[in-house]
Amino acid sequence: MPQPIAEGDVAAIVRAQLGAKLPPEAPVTAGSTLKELGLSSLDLTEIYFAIEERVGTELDPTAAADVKTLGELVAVVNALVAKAGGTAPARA
Amino acid sequence: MSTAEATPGYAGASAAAIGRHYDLGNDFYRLWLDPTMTYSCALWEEGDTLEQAQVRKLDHLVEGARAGGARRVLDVGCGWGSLLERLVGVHGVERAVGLTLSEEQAKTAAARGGSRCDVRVESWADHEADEPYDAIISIGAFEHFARYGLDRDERVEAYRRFFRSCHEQLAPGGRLALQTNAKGSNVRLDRQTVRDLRFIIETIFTESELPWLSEITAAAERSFEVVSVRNDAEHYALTCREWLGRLVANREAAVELVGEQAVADYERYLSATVGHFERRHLALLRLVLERV
Repeated sequence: MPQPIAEGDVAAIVRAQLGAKLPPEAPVTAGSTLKELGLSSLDLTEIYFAIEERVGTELDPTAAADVKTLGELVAVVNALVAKAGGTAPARA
Repeated sequence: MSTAEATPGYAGASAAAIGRHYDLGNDFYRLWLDPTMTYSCALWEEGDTLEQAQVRKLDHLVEGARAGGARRVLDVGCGWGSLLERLVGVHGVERAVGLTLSEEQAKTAAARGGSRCDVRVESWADHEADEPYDAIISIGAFEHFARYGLDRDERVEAYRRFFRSCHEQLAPGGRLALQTNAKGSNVRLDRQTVRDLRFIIETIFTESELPWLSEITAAAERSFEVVSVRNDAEHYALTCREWLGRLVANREAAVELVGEQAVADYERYLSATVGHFERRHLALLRLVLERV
């Protein structure tokens, strides 16, 4: 059964994706915008792949097209997970 | 404060980035392009050779821009000069001005265009015409007008600067024919596609980013009316397949000119791109716009 994902896990995936491009002291929080993190559309696609592996289901890539912050991304993902029959999103 | 105000205006890829790509050597490109050296999507009809399809494309855009018989025509991103040569040689244009950022291309284009052509190593952003143009044509240059990493608002602003510049240079009612790659609406990319796109952005077309159609039309608002738009993605799949076939057939000579790695990179880029157009991850737009 698909599992919801926590903000901390998405933040870790974002850090892994950006690697050296993101200084270790730079905060990655729910309020971080994708723009200030410097995420390109291809970075986002790769982050999506990593999230799909974590939650255990394929996600509609068009659903996250207008997402601006990391928190919004987590919300979109968990809504898709719930729709795919996953458990209710855990509160952060 | 809007994003556009917060970010210094972007005026297109640097001469260094353009040079890295197009100065690989005319002889290398000659091995796999058609004899007219046209490095952009062709317009195919049943039974065409690559050269026929390239000439058909040039004529289609000349017609769209109503450049035939015109006094003055601007070619933004003139490449190796195939359009300039055709404008003055076949379409009776009195004076054709070509802009490119590549020295290698400019030399070839100037030699081909002859005395009625003026080829400049200059960005559209710096180009100041002595008098207005009757028509502007731009093929495969728009892809370099925004850099990878700009967001939508910043891209639209960069494109708007281009349209404003064209607006200033064009006589009222004059037309702009624009051909560019664009993002396709199939955003369901598989992992290999993402790897290939990243490779193309980082290795082949650095400092470049593709527009969405809506970004082009948003940027043209209030300065140009859209006359026509067509998406010929399958024509670019066919063109890239043809180029790849020629490159592979001339592989030995190509390796001698640019080395094994560059040839392998181009083979990967061309073969991946065929699939990207076929699966509609990429679009090929031909637009005609009329100055208001």
